[in-house]
Amino acid sequence: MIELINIGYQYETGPEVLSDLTLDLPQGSFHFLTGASGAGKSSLLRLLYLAQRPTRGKLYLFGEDVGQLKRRELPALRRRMGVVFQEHRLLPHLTAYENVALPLRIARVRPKQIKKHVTEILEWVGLEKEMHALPMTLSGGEQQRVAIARAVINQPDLLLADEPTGNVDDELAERLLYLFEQLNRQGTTIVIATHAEHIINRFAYPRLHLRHGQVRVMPPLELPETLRKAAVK
Amino acid sequence: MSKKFIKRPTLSLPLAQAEGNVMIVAIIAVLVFLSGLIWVAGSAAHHMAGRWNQTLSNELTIEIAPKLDDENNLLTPVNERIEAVKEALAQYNAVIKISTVSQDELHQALKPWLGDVSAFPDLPLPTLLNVSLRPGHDINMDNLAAQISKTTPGVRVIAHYAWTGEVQRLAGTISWLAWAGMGLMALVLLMVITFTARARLTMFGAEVEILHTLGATDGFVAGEFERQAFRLSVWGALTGFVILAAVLYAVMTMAMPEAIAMVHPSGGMELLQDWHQEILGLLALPLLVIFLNTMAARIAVTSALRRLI
Repeated sequence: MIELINIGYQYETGPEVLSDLTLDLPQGSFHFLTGASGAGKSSLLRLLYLAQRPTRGKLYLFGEDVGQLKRRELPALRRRMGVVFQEHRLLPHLTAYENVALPLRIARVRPKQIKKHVTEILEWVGLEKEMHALPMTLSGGEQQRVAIARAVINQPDLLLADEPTGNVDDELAERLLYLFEQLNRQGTTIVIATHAEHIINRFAYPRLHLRHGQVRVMPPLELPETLRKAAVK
Repeated sequence: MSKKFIKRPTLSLPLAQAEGNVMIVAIIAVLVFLSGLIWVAGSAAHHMAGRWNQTLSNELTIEIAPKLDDENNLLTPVNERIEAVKEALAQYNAVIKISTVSQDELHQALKPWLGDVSAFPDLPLPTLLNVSLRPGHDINMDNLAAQISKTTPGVRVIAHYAWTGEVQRLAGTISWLAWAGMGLMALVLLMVITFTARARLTMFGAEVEILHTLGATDGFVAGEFERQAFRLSVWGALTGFVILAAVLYAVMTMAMPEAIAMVHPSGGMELLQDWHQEILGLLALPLLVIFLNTMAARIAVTSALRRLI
């Protein structure tokens, strides 16, 4: 699904933020991406959702060598991913419904199908009553749920989330994680960058810990039985 | 129109909400108006030159000077000389009309240079014959002049066709200037559209990145700019065209009927019939502007996006 071999990345001037990063994430896996601020979490995610290309090394996504792909071939790969940004990045002039429908419009799905899918997904995230609201009239948590709905409307093979719980309270953060779990059970590979230790500790998934541009894969925490049951619920 | 339809945005990027749209519409309207005026002025000059050219090519004047002896006595009666010239002209089928310029008309023509010559009845003025030729004739004017001079010595044939070259050059220059003016307008318009598209691509860079992240192709993003350019161009071109039509109507009906008569003696429906190509060109102007603007926006955005990763 995702394979990085000796990946290096640096911005135009400055040191490498990622160096010799090698990683293999199988299909259907669920990982937390952790690390201190400036460790390169966002840079790694930007490489994965193809906003940037690595300055060196090989990046394989869905079996494709990204370095060999032409610019016009990238949109097809991006459509197989969903991305949730920390600051939501909803388009402010579009309603919740229209924001969520955007990936389907881009993929030229028929309007009837769009209506059906968007209505369903907004119900799934509990925003069916807010579908005609503009983002500025929604709370931070509601905006985040719209952003998640937009990211998963295409039933992506890969979901990348950058601090998806950063602007929401703990209860909502946990609910969002349950949404991601549901997706993961349907086969979506998930990578979530987060600082929230209490969230990570609550869900038994391995973490990718970034430090000095290098990654270390850490096994999931052994959860107490009571927490595990709560998480499954 | 339902409320739902009005609220539904057709663009994924907030281009319709961007500042400066009214200004762009106004610029397009002004440029369409000016281009239309230049087109009409160029066409009018072209037609006037054509009419003058036709007139000059098909007319000549024959000057028959009185033949005098040393004491200013007539050697040959003028009427005999006029008849001799008319006989010589009668050999040419292309001659359709010969008229003698009256003494009064001759006096009026000379007045600016010689003053009132009617006060000098002894002044030996020449007789002028205006000769009209069939349009499209193939008479060699030099041969005709030689023939008449041979039969009636002392006669001068003034062929106006010598002026046609000048008129044609003038018409050509005016046409060239009109095309150059319209080309300049088109260039300014394309620069405005290209600059605006590029500026907005920068302004909405974050939104464009979101679309790309969601899997949008460059064509999809360029299509957003293209549709917005199309809308602004439709508004601008139609506004400019309506103003142009109103101004032309006002000029034709009220302000300058004399000027219209110079361009077309009949005016009205006949003018519309004779000018159908120019009118079609004028109607095509807003369509051309809309097409050019839309393409310019698409090309500007596509080429700018190619420079991204």
